[in-house]
Amino acid sequence: MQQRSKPQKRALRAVIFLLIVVLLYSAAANVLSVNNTWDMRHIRGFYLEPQDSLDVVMLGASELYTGFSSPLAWQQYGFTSYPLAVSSMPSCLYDSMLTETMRRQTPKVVVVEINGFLYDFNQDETDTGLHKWLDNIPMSRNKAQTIADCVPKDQQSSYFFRLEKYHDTWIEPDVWGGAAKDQLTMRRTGYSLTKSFEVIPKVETGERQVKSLELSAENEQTLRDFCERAKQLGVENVLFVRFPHRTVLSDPSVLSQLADIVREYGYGFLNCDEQMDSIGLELDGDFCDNEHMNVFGMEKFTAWFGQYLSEQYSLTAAHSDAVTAEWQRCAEFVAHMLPICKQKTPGDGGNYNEFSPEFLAYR
Amino acid sequence: MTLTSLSFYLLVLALLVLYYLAPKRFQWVVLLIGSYAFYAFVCLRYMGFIVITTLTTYFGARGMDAMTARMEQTVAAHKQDWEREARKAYKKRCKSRRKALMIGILVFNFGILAVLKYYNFFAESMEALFASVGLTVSLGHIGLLLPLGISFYTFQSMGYVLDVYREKVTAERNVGKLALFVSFFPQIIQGPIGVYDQLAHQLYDEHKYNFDNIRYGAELILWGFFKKLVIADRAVGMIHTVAGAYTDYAGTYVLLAALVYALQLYADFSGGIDISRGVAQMFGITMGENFRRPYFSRTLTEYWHRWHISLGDWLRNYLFYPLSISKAFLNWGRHAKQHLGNHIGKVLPTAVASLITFLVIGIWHGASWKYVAFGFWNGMVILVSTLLQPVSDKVVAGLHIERKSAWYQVFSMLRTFVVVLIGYYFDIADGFRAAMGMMAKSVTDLHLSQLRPGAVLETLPLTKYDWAVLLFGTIVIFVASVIQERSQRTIREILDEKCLALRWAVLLGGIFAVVLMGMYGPGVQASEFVYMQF
Repeated sequence: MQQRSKPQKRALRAVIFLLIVVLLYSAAANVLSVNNTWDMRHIRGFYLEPQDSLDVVMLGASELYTGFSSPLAWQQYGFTSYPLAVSSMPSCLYDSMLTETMRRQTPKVVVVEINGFLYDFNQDETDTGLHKWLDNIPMSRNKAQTIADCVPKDQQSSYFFRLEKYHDTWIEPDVWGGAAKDQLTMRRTGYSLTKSFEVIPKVETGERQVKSLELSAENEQTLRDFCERAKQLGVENVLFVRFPHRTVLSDPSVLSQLADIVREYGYGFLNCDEQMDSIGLELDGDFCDNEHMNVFGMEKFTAWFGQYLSEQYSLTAAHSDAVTAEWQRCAEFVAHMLPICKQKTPGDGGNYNEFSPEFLAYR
Repeated sequence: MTLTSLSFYLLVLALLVLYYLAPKRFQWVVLLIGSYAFYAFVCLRYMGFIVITTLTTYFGARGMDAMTARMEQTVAAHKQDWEREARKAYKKRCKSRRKALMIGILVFNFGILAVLKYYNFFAESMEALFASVGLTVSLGHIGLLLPLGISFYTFQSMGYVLDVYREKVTAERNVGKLALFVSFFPQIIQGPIGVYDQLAHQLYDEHKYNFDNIRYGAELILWGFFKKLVIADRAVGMIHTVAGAYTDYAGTYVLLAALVYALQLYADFSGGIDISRGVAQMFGITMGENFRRPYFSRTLTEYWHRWHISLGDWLRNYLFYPLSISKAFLNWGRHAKQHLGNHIGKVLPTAVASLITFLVIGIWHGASWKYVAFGFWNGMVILVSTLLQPVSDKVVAGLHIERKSAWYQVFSMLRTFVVVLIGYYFDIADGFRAAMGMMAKSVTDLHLSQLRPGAVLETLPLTKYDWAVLLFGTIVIFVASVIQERSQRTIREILDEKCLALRWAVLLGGIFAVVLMGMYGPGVQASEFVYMQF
């Protein structure tokens, strides 16, 4: 037996040991908590944006990052924006995303893509969506509140101790290694070059999908709570938007119902499904599937929607030189990226994002 | 709340704080409150049973002590006026009353255990027997679940009753303290079965805060978590799948499942015991070892001295020895010596007592014929090997085999493992017939080609990663066991002598092996400890 050291020394050693455990645990949790790499990029990219630098923040699901390119809008209209999106997003996240937005930014308008309010996910699907969001945002009162509000009590611990869910990820070094590399690269750059914009290189030409979507009582309440929350946070301009979809709603009156509700709170509503012609979207060329636009559709929609936002809201604020330089660089990167994406659409490869090898030369 | 749940450790943490902050003379009260809180949390509905056992044990033991005291007082008071014969007759009457009281307590408490655990099995067996001769008899069934830890706390408290009866210990005067001995929370789920004169004073003694107790306890808990979460819980699904549909699998896979079961059962049970012992150690209470590297045993008898030691000790002390030295067995031994020769006459009573003990071990494990067969198999192997010892000695001598040679030791270990493995088939199978079917398949349907990695991965519900983790876990346990076996010291003691960096590296390795390779989290159904059901 070794000679016993003094109690103070042993206590100090124990504290140091526990600190090492906590540090290693946090590091492992950060590296291994990979739900999907794209949502991770989009959400963490948002936190790299300089404080109070965004004129427009868009909240919603995957329609946002396939249908709108912020750097392109900057180049054309001079406003900064960021689509803060979570694929297959459950409606309970809107509130949390708005709170996170307002903690870091003071946007002149918040755009809310409404698709998330029209789906009723089961608990498993909701959990998946919640993890995509909550696993990628820093700890805050809002995060704890979202967990308390949206997650059943017996599952809450996996949101605080992320390795509870992701500890098996270490057997997939491609996944966590790739994600870590992307994160490091983005951090080194200091911001996301595409502001979460991604391209799915496909062209959908099949029959249009008909979907029956409705605003359930629960989602209506969530929508109302969101509007209340926006009022509480002092958000003057919220524009609820139905992004262009190839999908045909069997009962489009659901959108009017939703529009009526948000107007009660003095917020705007825009149904882009009705604007296909003025946007210039072609059903058999500008969509990669029934829910998302491809690069051609995105280019047209960004031009149209960027103009709409510029006209409706006063977005031409002066930005610092650093912010301007950042956005200029992003615009140049996207200018290199888009022709390649167009050339490769339709193609049989995977999605294109700022880390795709095709664009490495332009980073 | 299980031994691996967060809520259990929150309870432990709260109790530790209270325990070391409370006035020392009330420390046992903290443990009692904690133990009953734990029991109520897990098994509130059946709490009455443990209370009844505690009260009958308390009053029974106090009654026996009071009888002894009264007897001694009376004898002392009549020292002058009683003849030796009268004194002897009085003492005999007192002792038989005392014995009757002891038997009454045993019958009552084992009766509760028997009714709750075995009545349905008995009723079903009798109904099947009557049905086989064309009679339809319904004996009814009990719709109660087993109270948590009933086999463990019943054996522990009845051991205490027998110790008081034998005057090995005096009866506890404080009912609360006895309640703590019966219900001490780290061991209530799956033992080890405590012995009163080793455990009780530790529970009631005053304990100063000692950092080493916390550290050693935490290290033991970590080791238990490694065995349970990394190994046992990863393997358990595959074993159940194969055992539940063994006819769908080639014998090779049935045998592989049985081999993995040997690993899983050891990791599960000994892991749980490590956790229990670790938690107890944090309170300054040292519980006896329940395992001593059982798969290194060279004989089945040795295996049962190394596996579930506390149950083995209990049955040896309170069943095997009393049986072996009972008048009936001694007379029978003398009779056997006259008719069957010196050796058989000498060992037959012991071997039969051993067979009876193993039948009890089998039945203790569960209410099913497969467990009876499990006990019978173990008992018969020991009985036959005891009786045939001279033959074995002659063969070994004839072949000039050096029993102490390394290869013979390894051969003996493998031979014992095979015998133990056969017993395990009764454990994993759904019933006696299924066990026999699985054994037959393991022998008659063996094809080495089926052990190709591709074939194994395709057939058994374990991924490449699962196998890699199981292999890693097995290597870790094996290396640790070899080190312990050679040094006869614990890994903690050995580690303590190493430099800080190495100690921390090993501990961090252990923690992150559990964190990264353990089976837990959303989507993973936490599996209970195997021995919890007993």
